[in-house]
Amino acid sequence: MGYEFRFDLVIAHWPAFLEGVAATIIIAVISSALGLLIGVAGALLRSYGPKVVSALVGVYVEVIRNTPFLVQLFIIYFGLPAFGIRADANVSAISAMAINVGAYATEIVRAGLASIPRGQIEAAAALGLRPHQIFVQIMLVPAARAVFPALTGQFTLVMLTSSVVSAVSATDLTAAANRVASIGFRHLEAYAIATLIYIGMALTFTGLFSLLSGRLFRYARQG
Amino acid sequence: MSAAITAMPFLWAGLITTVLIALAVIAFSTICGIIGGLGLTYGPRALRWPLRLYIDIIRGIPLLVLIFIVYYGLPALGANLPAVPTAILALSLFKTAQVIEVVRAALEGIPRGQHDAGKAIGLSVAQRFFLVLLPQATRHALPAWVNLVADTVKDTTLLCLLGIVDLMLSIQQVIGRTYEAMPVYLLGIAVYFSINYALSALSRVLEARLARAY
Repeated sequence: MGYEFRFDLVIAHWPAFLEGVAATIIIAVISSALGLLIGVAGALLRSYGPKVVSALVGVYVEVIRNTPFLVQLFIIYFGLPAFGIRADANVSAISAMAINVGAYATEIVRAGLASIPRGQIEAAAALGLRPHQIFVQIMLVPAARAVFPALTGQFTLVMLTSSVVSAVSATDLTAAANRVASIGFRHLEAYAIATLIYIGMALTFTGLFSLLSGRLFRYARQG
Repeated sequence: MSAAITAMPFLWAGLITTVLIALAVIAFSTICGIIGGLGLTYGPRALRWPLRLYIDIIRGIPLLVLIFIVYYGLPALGANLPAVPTAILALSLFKTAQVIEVVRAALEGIPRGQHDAGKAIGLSVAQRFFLVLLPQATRHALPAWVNLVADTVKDTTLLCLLGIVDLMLSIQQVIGRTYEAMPVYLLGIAVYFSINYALSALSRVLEARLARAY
């Protein structure tokens, strides 16, 4: 018995896929941006904060990195309402992703800060740069350059991981595929199309980031 | 809190399912990954190309979508497997690609001189491989491989979306009956954390030990 592919039944629902793509990109961008903020704050507190705070950040990073994302998502979506904290599926999904990405970003940014030789900071201080100048120009920018590939790789991972949020009825590309699949019982075709779109998005963003890296950090390669 | 305690045997059964699936996936993908890694490093171009393509495609697909594709795709190919073998197959497809990359990196990390030196002292191809390359590659690959094992344990949670009663779905079912979400979730998170933290600690120890062992 051969399986008869009917992509036409699925492609007829292309607006649903388009909405799914938009939702996935929005979720990935917002949660990555929030995650990066958490990551920078977390890395600074972990490296330079008081001992107690630094230890707490360490616990946050280890707990998030060593537990499945699905559990984190379920705790936020199904667990928090018991404490009177209620949010709709999309807000819960973005919060869970941001908290998750924040832990990984903390480690990445910390590695970036650690890659800056102490002598450079001392040299900047000796030259009379102000603390905020030292922080931005001597620490943050070179650190960003050092971790740019890791951070953008993380973004692609976030985009792919975001498919999990369809489990709590948040709207994203996988949720769109679920919906289309159950309309015409054409599951295989729907997920095949979603797969192609995900691969396309992953390739597009990887390409964009490598272009961007060439633009942003041009002087680094000449130096 | 009492609900979490009375549900223990049920959760325990779920944990066993999680561990067994993870072990099967790791065994399967480690064997295929080593073969694939050797192929990708030393194989002819006709073999390297398809392997590279496979790895890059897997990298661009969310695991959840891959699981659905295998789950709905196998019956279309005429193979009606039960949910658990299907899940193991889907996770192994995903994990094998990562193991191949780890093996390739480990093999390429060995200086070319080691190979040449082996040749120069008259070792056969098999001896060069088993006595010179393999022990060194294992050192390189082991910490990364342990991290993949930890990832596998986390990845198995997605299988609850296929209705497989692993630790994750047992947790959801207990909560569905008792309406005590937080204690059960915290218990679940503690279990996953213990397994994964132990594995990542092991990975760090191995890395430190193997780095200074020469």
